[in-house]
Amino acid sequence: MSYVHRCLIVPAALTPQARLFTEQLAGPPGAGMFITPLSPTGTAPATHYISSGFIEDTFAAVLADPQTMFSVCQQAGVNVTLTACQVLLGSSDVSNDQPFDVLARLGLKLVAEDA
Amino acid sequence: MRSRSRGPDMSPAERVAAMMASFVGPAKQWLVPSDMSSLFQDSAGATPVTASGQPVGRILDRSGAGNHMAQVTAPSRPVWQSNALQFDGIDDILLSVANVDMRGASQVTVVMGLRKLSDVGGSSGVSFVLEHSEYVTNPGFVLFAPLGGAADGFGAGVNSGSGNAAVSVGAGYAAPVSAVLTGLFDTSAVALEKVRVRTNGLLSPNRDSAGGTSAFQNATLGLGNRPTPAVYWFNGAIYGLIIIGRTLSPDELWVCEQYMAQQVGIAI
Repeated sequence: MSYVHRCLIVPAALTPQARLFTEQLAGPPGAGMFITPLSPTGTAPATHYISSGFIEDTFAAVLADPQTMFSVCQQAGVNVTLTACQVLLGSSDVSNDQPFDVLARLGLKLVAEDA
Repeated sequence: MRSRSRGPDMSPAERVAAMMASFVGPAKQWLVPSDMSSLFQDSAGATPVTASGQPVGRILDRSGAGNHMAQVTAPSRPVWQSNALQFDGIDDILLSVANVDMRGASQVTVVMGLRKLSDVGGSSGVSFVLEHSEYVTNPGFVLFAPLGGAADGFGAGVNSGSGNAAVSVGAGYAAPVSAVLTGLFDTSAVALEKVRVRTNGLLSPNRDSAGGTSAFQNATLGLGNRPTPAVYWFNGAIYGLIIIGRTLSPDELWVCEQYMAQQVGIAI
């Protein structure tokens, strides 16, 4: 098994779905992602959530293409449509950049206060 | 470097090892990120860390108490680089695999070698680089990096059973900065002596008051944020950590801080 770095940012509205997918597709290492809230001002409410670090290379491949995600979901018995995979990945930012570089690029900040 | 004390001609590392071996009980931890044999990429400890830039999903406790740290969630694992655990300030945190049992201890000494890369933190510039228990509401202890942005670059906090107290080292430790940070915790002491903080061997004159005399708890230890992660992510590197459930003598403290300075690569 090898790991690759990914910085993943998903819209807040899709975060529950992203959490479900990552846990179901990656297993325990995919559970507990997207716990850090973001917003353009650094204050609540969160508009996005971020997860950044090393993930298994096989999981990185799933995140690179909606069709691949859909196929893996079907194999795993996850009830999802291709459209849902397209929407999730199409509205998320997935890169191998460093997280604070991505935040600067997207104009987002860590939410600095507890919810 | 050799100990300044009389007695056996041992290195600081050897003296720390002897100190850990002679302390009986579970209230201790000794993390040595420069020791690759204690590092694993996964939380189960199946895949060893073999090169710089790899994630650390598990680090073994060398104190003998078995207080190992791990992270199941893959992206939340720190990265091993330059003999240190690098926390990204986004979502990296290590948690004790089981509760760290500090119930027998009302006095705790914590010595950490670290490099802080950011003073942003969350909620008024606060980052928790270490927390045992949830110190806001329960007996517990904390190291901050920073405590209040660049103006309060490091700090320590304690809850002794009736409210909590936090002390800052004050100015002079704005990020980026490397340091040996020491927290001296004694819940049985008078109100203004329950928590003191040292940086690079120097005791801060700052004090804060807390009530209560409760011993510490059997609770989760977090590195990089609170055990229940909030907005207080630590951005920087941890080069080593010593926790021991007693007050150290001045000579023992000097040895631990010298040892940790060696791990960080600074002179103090």
